[in-house]
Amino acid sequence: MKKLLILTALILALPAQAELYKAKFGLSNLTINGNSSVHKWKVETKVIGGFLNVDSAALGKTGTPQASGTVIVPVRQLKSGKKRMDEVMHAAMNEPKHKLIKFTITGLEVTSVKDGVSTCAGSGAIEINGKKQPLNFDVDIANKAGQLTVSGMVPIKMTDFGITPPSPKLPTGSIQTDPEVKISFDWVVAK
Amino acid sequence: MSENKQDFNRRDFISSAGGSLAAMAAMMQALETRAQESEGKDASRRTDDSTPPIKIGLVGYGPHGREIARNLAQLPSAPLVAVADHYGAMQRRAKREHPKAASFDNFQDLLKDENVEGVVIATAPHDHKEIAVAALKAGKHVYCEAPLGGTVEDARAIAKAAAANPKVNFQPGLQYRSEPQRQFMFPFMRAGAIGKAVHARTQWHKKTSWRFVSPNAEREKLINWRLNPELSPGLVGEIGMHQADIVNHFLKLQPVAVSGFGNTVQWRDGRKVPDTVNIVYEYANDFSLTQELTLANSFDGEYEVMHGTNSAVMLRGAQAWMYKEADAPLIGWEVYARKMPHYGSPGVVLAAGATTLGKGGKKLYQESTFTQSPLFYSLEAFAYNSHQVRSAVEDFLNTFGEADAETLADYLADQLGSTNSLLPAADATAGYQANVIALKANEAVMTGKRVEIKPEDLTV
Repeated sequence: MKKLLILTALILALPAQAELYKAKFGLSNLTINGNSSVHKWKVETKVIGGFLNVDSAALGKTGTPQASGTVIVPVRQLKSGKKRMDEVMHAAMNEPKHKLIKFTITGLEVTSVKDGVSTCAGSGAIEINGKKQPLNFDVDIANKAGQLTVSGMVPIKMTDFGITPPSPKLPTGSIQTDPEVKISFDWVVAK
Repeated sequence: MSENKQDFNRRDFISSAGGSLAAMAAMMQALETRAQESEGKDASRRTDDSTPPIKIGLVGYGPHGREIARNLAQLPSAPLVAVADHYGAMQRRAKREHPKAASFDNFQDLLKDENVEGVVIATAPHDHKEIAVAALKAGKHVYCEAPLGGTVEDARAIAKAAAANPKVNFQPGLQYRSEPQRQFMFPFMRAGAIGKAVHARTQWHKKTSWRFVSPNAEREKLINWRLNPELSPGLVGEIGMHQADIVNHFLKLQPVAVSGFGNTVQWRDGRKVPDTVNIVYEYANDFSLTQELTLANSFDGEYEVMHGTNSAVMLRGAQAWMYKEADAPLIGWEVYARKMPHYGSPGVVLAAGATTLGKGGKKLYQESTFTQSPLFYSLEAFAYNSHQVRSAVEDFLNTFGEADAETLADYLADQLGSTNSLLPAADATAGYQANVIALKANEAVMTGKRVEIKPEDLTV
């Protein structure tokens, strides 16, 4: 009896366990929206891989759950639907050398919870074109049927990552691309 | 994949164009965009020197294999690194003409060569199955000349093997599916620009014997498989299928029956494969297609013409024209388009890569830049698409790990087919269906009987 009580006490004393959630194809999407001197543009992909290690039970209340993870996006799978524009963009991002956009999550703080959706302030880093920059971000995480949907939007500046905004030439002159872009995502991970 | 990408109907056309003025603007913009895309590179190609190459192994160095090798030599994205031919004289010729390419006397050794990434099969159709299935299993991208097989069973086995190996690109040699002029015409035709499709006609006239000579009697028998009724798909299988396929593809139709007859008019050398054939295909919607092919006369060459209630469209080589009926509604843009008279009818020129717009002092009319052969564009598409498939599969595996064939196929259809990432090309199903239709037509010619083509016949 004494042993059982000790065992129960030990179990209760253990910190909550983080669980591993992995990305699967077809559920996620990521869009990069930008602007230029001619028109707005966007590229998108459904190829978003990686994993999230998180204590999902702790996501249901305000606080700081254990959380870490990595998101990876192959640069050449970012598509606009226009072959030439894709080639220009992939070249600007130095795709042959740096094939992935990597986003690491090192911490999450749940600031509010409503209708099963946790609003979180996160911290981590983003690596594009082989250059890493620290990043603070806001995301909503919906927990449903063993599946987490992490949604958010992160503004970045291409020049912070050593990317010269593409400036393709037209007969009427060059297009000037705004260095600021917005990365929007719905990243779905499941156990 | 490519079929989905290219799916286009009248409603899409009208809703996207929003009327005749917008349609004109869209048409002109498309023309101009193509001209702009050609700047700064070889304008006859759709790829440039920076396109990552797929190293090619060629199986079969007969006349068609050599034609393929000549086209590959103009494509930096498809370097020829190996040639296999079981006939010694052809091996020696390949070594002489392509000294940098490895030489093999059998295709199995070529498939073992890790330097070979894509295989182009240019042997007789009855040899395709063994080579294509082995190449797909070996993880090579495969371009298999059309017809895929000499029998429906062979064609089906190849199409099934292609579906079972989605990590590699498979392309049947339906060249017209990749040719820029016909590709340019595709949305135009699918939009119903000719009105209700009434009838189509294709012609292929060329005075040539189809007989090859060799000092070796056994070799002569082998290379003249086209004249052997046991092995030959006939004129319709070798030639007519390409033209019938493009009509069926443009109009999104499949025949339900075919009749035909053939005679040996000119080359009475004991052959049992007719040198002149006439074929009529029936369709469920009262449309019909007739084909005439002959090896006995070359007048008027080859073309396809599709007749609708509003206009007729003729495709000839790398050119096309539209001949409108007097009572056809005005589309809009044709008023400004270049005209070329044809036996008294003003033909509206429909040219890929050309523009009538004057901008920045440029001349008002620019001829099409796509001057290469359909075979060239088909091989260009194969190399480019193989690279795209390779990249997409690599990215999938690095991102998500291994997956079953169905998941991978869905992923590729979504990631490549829906994002305009591929150059136009026929897929395995299209290759199979064109093959079956051609074999049924040849059966009709050889038996003189009407042959039905059931929907299940066209299902892989």
